[in-house]
Amino acid sequence: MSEKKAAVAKPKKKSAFFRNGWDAYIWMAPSLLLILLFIFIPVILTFYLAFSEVSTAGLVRKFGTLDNFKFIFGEVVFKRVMLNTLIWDIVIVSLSMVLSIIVALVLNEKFKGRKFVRTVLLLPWATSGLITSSVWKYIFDYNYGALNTLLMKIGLISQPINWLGEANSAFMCMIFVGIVVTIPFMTFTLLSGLTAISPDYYEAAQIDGASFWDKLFKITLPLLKPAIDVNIVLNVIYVFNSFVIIHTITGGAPADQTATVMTYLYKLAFSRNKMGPASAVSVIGFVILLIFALLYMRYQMKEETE
Amino acid sequence: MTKKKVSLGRVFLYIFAFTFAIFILYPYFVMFVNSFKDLNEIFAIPGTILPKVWHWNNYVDIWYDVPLLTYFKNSFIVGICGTALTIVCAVPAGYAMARMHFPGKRYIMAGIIVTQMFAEIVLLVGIYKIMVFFHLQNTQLGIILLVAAFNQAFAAWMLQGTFATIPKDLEEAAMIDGCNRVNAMVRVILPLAAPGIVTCIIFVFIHAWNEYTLTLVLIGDQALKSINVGIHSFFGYTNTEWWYVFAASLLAILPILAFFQVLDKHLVGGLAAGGVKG
Repeated sequence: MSEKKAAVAKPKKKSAFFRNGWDAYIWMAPSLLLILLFIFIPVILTFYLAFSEVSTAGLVRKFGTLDNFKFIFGEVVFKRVMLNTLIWDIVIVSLSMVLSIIVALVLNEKFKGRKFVRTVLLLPWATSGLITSSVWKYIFDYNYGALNTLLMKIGLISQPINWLGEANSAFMCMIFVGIVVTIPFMTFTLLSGLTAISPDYYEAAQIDGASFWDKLFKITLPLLKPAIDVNIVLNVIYVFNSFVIIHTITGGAPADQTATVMTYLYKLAFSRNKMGPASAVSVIGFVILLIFALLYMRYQMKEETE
Repeated sequence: MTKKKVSLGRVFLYIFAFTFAIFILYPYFVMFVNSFKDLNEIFAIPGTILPKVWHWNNYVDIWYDVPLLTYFKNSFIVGICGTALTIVCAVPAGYAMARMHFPGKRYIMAGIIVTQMFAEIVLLVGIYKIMVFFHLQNTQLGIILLVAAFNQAFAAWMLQGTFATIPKDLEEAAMIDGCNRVNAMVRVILPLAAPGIVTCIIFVFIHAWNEYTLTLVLIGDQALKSINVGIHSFFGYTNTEWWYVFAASLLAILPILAFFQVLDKHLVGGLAAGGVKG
């Protein structure tokens, strides 16, 4: 319909280039050039290096080898790193989701101070990952950390707890920080989903005498499901990519026991100077991400056609 | 009876909302009070919650003891230039995506959104290589280009959403009146899209301001480090200068706080439009 209008508006003599819409690529060019040069080419380079023999100076000696992958799977710690990544992703996304739904439901109600709580919730989202991680590293510190000081002052503990001293508890502490930084984004996207639900449903339910729980499980959550689904896919990807928290708080210590794919990859590339194996880890991470990306795209396309 | 039930719910609502707010604010409280402590009090055992003596001069000394001004200057350069480049490239792209029909559109749009899935970190080695190839490692231009590239997906899609909400009739009328497409867009569409563009600018600036990983990997020169990498350099092997970490952190949050009024108004819609990175 609008095409017809545009055709009338446009001068009739036009080159095939413009008629077929290829001129749109002129508009897209700067954006596509940036993406091509600084994202797609690095992707290709990473793949190239992953299947090459790379010298310590970073030069490619031979292309077409699986040695980098053999090296990675030969690393004793790699299994632990993969397991950590899985736990990291699943636990952070699922717990953040449950909490975010509750927070979004609360913030969707009208109450005094709602604006204040909403503004407060913007803070962790707008604070850099490094700053957030730094302060939590201090809070969890064994000797002089704020948490031990606080717990001892109110008398909950008599001896300081070594939160970050041992791999499992350190990992749990970092998962906690991961949840704190994931909640704001989730809550705000869920909140926009909630505001889109028509109040008519609730009015009708009210007339039928539905309870709070009926309304929650039979109206709110089913209608919120699309927003929840997108959020889960997106956050599985973002949390998988998360690097700064672990890099700052433990750096993977002790002995990579708290490392995820991302911090392990960083260490391989820049501390151990193993660019080839690091690229192989990237490729593994990449393939996992691609599966989720395709899932997300399928969802996005479905949404558009609906 | 229902009334009583409702008011009980309200009580829980208030308790939950404000406990949650306190919990979120706690790390900021920790940063604030500890930024005023001196070395002896930070490392004192048992520790204190509030400083015994408030060392206000920490906020003066930090400018002399560490190159904080340089860090801030660098973050502003990357923040402002990175945002400008992102928006300049994303506006025409977003417009084309919203308004034009072109061959392969579906795949181009999908290809752009896929880039949002990949963080800088997973492409680290490839990025490092391409930066070395262009002699852009250890330069701010390199960081600016990368920031712009990694924000394209978000910015172009968000702007596409903004442009799509503006009625087509307006620019069609302008084009009938003799404007070409570029003119119609600049004169008619851009002014109407201004609120959306401003929101997009703020989001991208926050991403660029908070950038850490790329600078960590690519910038070796002390004089080119950003505020986030600078803060990380206060971490020592034995002792960390926590009072400086926290003072610098709070100062680094200030420019973003300045945007909060605008942010609060647009965040919910904006996040929904772009499926933004957290």
